[in-house]
Amino acid sequence: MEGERMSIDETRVRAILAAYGAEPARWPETERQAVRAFLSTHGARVADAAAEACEIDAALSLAPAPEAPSEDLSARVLATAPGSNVVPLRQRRIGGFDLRAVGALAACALIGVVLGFGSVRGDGGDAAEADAAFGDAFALVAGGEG
Amino acid sequence: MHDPDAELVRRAGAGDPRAAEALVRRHLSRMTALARRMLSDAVEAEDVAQEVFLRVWRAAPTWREGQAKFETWMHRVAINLCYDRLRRRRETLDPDAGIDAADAAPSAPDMIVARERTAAVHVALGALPERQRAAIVLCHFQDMSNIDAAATLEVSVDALESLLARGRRALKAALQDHGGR
Repeated sequence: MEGERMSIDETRVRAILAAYGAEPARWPETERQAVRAFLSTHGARVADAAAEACEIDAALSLAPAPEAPSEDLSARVLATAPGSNVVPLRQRRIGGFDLRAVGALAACALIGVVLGFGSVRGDGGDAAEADAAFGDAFALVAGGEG
Repeated sequence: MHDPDAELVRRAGAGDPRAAEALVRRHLSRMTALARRMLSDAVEAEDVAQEVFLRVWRAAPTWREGQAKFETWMHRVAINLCYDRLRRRRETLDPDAGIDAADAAPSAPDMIVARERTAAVHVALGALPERQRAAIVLCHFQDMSNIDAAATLEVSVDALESLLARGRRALKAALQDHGGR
């Protein structure tokens, strides 16, 4: 690895400030100490460049932070990893149907069964027969998801 | 030079799901953030991040330590995918591409100054030439060293410094224009 640079001139300090800004952690590692030393003794000579660098750094710090990736993205990415047997919800399929579509159909079926059950009760039919039909309907829905 | 990802990459390539999960935990946010800053589009950024990992999984079984650092290679893949998308946008000649509608919208009368300034910085970054933007994103937001950033962009350190300096100057000029309106 290249060694630490011990001396540096004004032109190079100005170039570093213009490229990397005023934050020492962003300066090239091999020149960091030399820039610090220069600024501590000749800082006034590059005060304009340092002020401009601070101003741009401050503007950049206002840039909005990107949102964290969604859990769904992590799952999708992991599903494609070697050896993965995880299938993300977005891609999960049963018998050729997308799982979400199957879920929606099951929900619709359930609502239909409940409404149908209500109408049976409303017609004053036999309660025991209706209860049995209701139970059979749930068994059908539950069986269909397996 | 020890690559902190090398062992995880080797294990992920051999089909170890825990290693794959660790790589995703370590890098997915950074890849998404990089693409988000390059493309100013959350959905496209997630697509890029997903594509980066598809390439990671393909490369992992044959990855050899001692070439580029793995993270540097990932950044290079992500940057190139972003360049491809930016190029396609230019080809469709959509003048608003690259800037979220909400960001580009004129400021509401009651918008506070700080929020307006934040939006202005975002728009100014998005308007930079893509290589200058990439240099700033890598060095300022991804906290990459100059050597790693130069390797990612496949340029010399001198060229990287030129991109950074021109990008920062352009950013300052754009913000001055914005402030002067």
